[in-house]
Amino acid sequence: MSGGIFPPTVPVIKGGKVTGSLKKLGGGDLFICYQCGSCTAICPVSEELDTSFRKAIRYAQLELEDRLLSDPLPWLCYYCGECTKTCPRDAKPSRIMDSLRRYLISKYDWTHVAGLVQSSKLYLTLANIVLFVLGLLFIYLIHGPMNQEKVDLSGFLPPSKVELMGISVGIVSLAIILGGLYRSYRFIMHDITNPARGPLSSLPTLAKYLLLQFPMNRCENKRRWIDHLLIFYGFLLLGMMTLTLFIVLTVAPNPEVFASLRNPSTPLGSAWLLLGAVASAMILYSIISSIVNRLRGKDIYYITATTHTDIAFIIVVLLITLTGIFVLAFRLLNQPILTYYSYAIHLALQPLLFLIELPFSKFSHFIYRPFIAYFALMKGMRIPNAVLKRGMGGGLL
Amino acid sequence: MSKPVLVLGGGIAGIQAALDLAEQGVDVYLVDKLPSVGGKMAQLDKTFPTLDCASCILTPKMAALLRYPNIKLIMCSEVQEVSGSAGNFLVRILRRPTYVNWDLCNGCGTCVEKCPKKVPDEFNMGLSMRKAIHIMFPQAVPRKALIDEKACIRLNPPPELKEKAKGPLCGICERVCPAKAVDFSQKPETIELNVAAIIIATGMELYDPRNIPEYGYGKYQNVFTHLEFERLVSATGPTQGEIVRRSDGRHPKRIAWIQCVGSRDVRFNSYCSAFCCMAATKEAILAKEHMPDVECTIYYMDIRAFGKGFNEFVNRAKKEFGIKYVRGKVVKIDENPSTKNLVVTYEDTASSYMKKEEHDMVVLAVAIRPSCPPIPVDLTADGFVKLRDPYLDPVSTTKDGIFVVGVVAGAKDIPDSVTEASAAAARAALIAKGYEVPVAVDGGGYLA
Amino acid sequence: MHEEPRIGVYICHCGLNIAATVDVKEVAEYAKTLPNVVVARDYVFMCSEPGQNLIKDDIKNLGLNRVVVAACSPSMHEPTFRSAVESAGLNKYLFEMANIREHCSWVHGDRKLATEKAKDLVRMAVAKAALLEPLEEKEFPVYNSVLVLGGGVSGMRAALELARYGFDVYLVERSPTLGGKAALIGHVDLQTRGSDIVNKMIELIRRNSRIHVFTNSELIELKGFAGNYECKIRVYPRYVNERCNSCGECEEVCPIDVANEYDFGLSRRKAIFLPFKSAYPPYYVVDHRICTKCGECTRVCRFNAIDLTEEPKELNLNVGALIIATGYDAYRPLKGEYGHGFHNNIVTLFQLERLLDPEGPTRGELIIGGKVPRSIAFIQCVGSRNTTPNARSYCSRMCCTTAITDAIKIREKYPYVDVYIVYKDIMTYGSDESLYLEAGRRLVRFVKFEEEPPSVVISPEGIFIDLYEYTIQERIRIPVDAVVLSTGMIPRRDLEDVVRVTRVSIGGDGFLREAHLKLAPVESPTKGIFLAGAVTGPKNIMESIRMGSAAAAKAMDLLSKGKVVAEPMIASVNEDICSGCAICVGVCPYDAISIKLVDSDRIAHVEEALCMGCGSCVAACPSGAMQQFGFKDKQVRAQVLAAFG
Repeated sequence: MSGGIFPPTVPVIKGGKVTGSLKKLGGGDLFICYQCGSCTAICPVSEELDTSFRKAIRYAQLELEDRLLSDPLPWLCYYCGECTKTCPRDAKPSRIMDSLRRYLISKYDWTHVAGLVQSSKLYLTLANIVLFVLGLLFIYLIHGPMNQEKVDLSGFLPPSKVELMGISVGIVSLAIILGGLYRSYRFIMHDITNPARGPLSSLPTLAKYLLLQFPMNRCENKRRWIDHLLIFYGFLLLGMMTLTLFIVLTVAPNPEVFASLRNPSTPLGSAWLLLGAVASAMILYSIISSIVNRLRGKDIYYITATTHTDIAFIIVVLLITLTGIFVLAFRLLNQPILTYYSYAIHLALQPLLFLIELPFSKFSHFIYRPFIAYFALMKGMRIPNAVLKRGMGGGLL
Repeated sequence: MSKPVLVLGGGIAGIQAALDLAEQGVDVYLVDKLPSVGGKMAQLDKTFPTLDCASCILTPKMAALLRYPNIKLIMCSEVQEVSGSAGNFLVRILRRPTYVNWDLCNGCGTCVEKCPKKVPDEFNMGLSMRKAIHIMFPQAVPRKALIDEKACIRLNPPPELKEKAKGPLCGICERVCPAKAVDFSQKPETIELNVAAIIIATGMELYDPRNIPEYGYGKYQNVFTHLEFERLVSATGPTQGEIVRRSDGRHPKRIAWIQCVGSRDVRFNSYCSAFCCMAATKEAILAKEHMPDVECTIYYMDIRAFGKGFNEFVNRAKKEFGIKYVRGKVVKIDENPSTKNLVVTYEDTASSYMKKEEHDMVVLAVAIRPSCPPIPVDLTADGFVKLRDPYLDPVSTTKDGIFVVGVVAGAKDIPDSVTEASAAAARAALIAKGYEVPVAVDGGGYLA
Repeated sequence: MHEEPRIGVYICHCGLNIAATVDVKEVAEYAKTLPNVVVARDYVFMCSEPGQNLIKDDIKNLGLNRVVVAACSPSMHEPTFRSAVESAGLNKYLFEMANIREHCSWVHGDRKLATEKAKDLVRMAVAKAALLEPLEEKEFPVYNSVLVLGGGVSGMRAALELARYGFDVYLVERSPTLGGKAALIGHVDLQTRGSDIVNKMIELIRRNSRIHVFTNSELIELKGFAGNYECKIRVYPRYVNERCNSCGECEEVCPIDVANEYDFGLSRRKAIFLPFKSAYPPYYVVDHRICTKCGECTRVCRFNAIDLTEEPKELNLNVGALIIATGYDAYRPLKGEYGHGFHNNIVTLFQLERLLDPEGPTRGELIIGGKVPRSIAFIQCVGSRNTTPNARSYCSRMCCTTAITDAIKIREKYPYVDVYIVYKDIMTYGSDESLYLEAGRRLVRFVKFEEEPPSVVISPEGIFIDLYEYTIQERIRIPVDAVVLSTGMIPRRDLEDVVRVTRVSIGGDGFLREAHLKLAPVESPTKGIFLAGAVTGPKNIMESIRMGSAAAAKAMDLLSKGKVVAEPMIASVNEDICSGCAICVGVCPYDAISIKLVDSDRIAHVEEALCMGCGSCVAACPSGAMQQFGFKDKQVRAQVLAAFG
């Protein structure tokens, strides 16, 4: 009861940094919360957790940064919005969760760009424009002749050079993401030296989260889950297609296969085209679906709020998909110039997706959510829909 | 010569004001929409923190009203319109027909015994039945019978019987009444009063918990409100003090009180209803006194034990009676369809776990809503009657000569209501006796 | 009386309060067998109208001439039943009550034994009832004036109301100024300052010729009874008169310097000082308790306003009623309690109010320890709710609202200052809940503890608040620049002076006790003495003012009829037996007995108006000459004999 020496692990509340950041990220209502626990009680996921969402909000209120960083809870939330409907103070807990997610992303990110971009429309717009211009510049510098007779994409932009651009963007993007993932791992694990579960035994849960987009499946509105699956698999498909091209072009060069893949008149090429079209359609559909849902003003979206990063993501993906479709269309219609321009824009937009949207915005959720659930499971926490071996005290599924 | 004062509302605050006014020689009209005075306090079993029996301290005051010849009770009446100004108000009151001549009725109760029609008893919160002709409760003041015209077979004959019968139905009460007091021809009566001042003491109603369907009130039989529980635990209540479940009439073994139902909630009422924490504590103690083995749990957000003796009362509840206090707001109640037990869902903020707990009876601490009469005074944003200046002109409304006391001006407990009542009575008496009407000074207060 | 006693006995169930433990029907049956009992009934609530009607009807129809009711305590309903008896035409003192609730059903568990005891009590009451004699009440005229003790908002309000009703009011205040604590409280709510309220009240009092203000005064003697009190007040000298124009030169040369209680110790003052800017009377005063009469002030005063030769005066006042509104003291933490006294940046809530007051020692700037703190934490429930061994058990009612109001004001004025409120429960009841929400909007941080109170740690790195945070189940440490201890309200240290003079009762919590907590909140158990404000327990300013109004109303109830009726159960002397030994004179606590010469015999004489019927003289009288109406020896003897069957 008297002032003693507390062990150094006692968290110390420091002045305003967390809440200052959260305010900028849209979570300013968090002090209205009076800790009643309604949000936790109504949350569909709470029953499978050992801790509570209210506690996460509490950590933020009390500026306990390292507790927040080691808390995987914001990632286990799939923003159903029930908590905001139930909150007696209208503190909008789902919005606070959302801003916590963005806060965490900005903390995981080692480049410090995330924080800037998430809290400022200006910086985000600037970053996008700068990258786009740089992309166009690069294309301008490396482009070959623009054959006006027929569509010759490989002539216009030699695949090897495009690949170079792709690889460099990819490496940077991966560095950012993996860096973030590693940092998140360190934060979650905090001071645990002996994880409760091994990385291999926790893999099935990771697979579930990643491949089945859990816990989105719990949404009452199944469309959200379907949208998430479509966009995930759409991008996965496109990614695998790009990887295939990379392998065929550089790793195990096979110019004929490469050429026929790229030639829609060949059977392989048209199959490839179809695959691409399907993937694009999946992405396009889910993007449009989410726009429509937000415009309809449905409860869910009022609750989590659409921020500028969301809008940017939607716009960029939309543009990429559309320009991709234009490339295809113009090629089929034999409009070389239009094809080249569409292709140029299509390519110049890619860095935006991979260098800004992927690492720093909602897109990164696709990576962070499953992996952080995975880390948390390793740490020994209870995770919803976890896959546990029999005899580990959790039962299957 | 002094003019009369109108006291609107016959709860404890109205009664106290009327008694104080009469004591000072002023004529009083005490108007209430119910057939008896007593208000909500008459429905309570015991009061906190002294555990005084509410009837024991209230009924003598009620009886005292009858000892003053200058108090006139106008029951079953409501104000329709108020006009005029301080010293000279014109009040139009509508008195509902009781179909019994109260000048003749002596409250013997013979009619009640013989009446064939039963309907839910509002005084017992619908937990028991009463007859169409009835006396509100045994200690009612005035103790007179009245007929509920909607229930009465004569006044409101059911269509199928009406056709078959030739002429009026039933009428048993009229025949058996030894005082010949039953009068089916009574009509609503308009009463016009000229009064010097008005004291608003109309009290409160409970916020309807059906507005919050997550708690299942009305659907789940074993979910009660505070007032219903008070009736159950009262010796003069529907079960003579036996706390029993609605579904099977058995004693509960685990009772839960859920605080802040519709209070402190921006979706319903953002204010705090002030006394429900203490009411729940008291009820839990009474439950323990009646059934020593019962488990009582109170789910709260903050325990508002701010008054005299309150904190000690809560400590007593915890230590002496073993009542459990759990900090966590209950968000919903689910019913087990076979046992009709209730499962409450909440977060136990002391451990950060989401929990579900089963109870066999749940009592909801619903918010109070003020019962504002149609009088031209300002109201606050929450709907309570607004005080002109709580510091310099306590108990005054925004209209000169109209005062307000009790919970209709803001959630408070009995001592505060009684205090206000005495203060308002003295102010009203001044006006009634023809002293200079207080002139509001800029910023409040009045010229001395 | 020479007629045969015809006794009616009524056993009350009191709902289940009595009936659950005592077999009331059995007792009623038993009562029928007792001598002189004509009828015995039982009923669920004897005090209700139908219950009382049983008595009235029986008196009329059965010719009862004595009534016994076995029910609750006489202090509860003796007046009720006496009225009922009287309204049926019987002298109200031919009524006896047996307490089978507080003395029986509420304290025993065994039904059989409790019922037997109830029968014993009824038998005793019946035995006494048979010997009761009718008594007549005496009327006395009343004084149309009231003494209000305490010049805070509560007392001032009562004075204003009483003056309005046409009474003369003597407003007696111990300190040199009116205003009390409210004058020092900056934020009563977000828009109102305590001094605004006080100033308006003082203004109204000044203009009211019926209110006579005595500051620097004490009540030193109180004699008499309700409606007819003789008070003696002592007016201590101010040494300064109204020629003073508050120039302050005297203050500069005064050699005596003490902690200023008007800033709750934050500043110092001299022996000659002005309590605060709008003090009333509006000029300087010398604190007579510490002045050394050195004369320096007189020397420099250019207005000839100081006269150190002034003597205390005593005044006799006749009043009809007394209102005690002496307020409270702020809890003073012990040295070391939450670090109090060990660091200048640890202040109390009252001190904070002074700091935030534009007329306070820092002109309203939140300067603690020489600068505006970057972070400040309020610790709630200091001295209240059993949080520490020295704390009281009650909640001090106003500290949560005050702390939150202050927190909002601080955040408004200094948006970069971090404010924490460390609490156990937030007591913003009623419409004050909106303040709690507003504090959240202003980013005030709330931190909760439960069993273990927070510790204030003072280290070279600064001040820390260590606590086990209830909602995250972890110990945390908050570095702060300043700490505000939300101290509660405690009874005044000098309350015993008031109690000694007025003989009012103190409750278990040290505050004055009301006649009934629920239904008589502004009356003391002593008739004619009323209570208002925080003297009965923690109250906020609005509540205190309301109580002042109500107490005035109750005083008016008592005095408005122009007369009071005194209880006739007083002592009386049988002059034939009295030997004039004068033992009774010494034992009477009310100085009601004196020795008079009657035909050259020394005989004791009881002043009826002053006798309170305590019975001390009766017990002391060696010859039995002194008897008390209603408790005569023969009546009590009958009761005692009946006790043994």
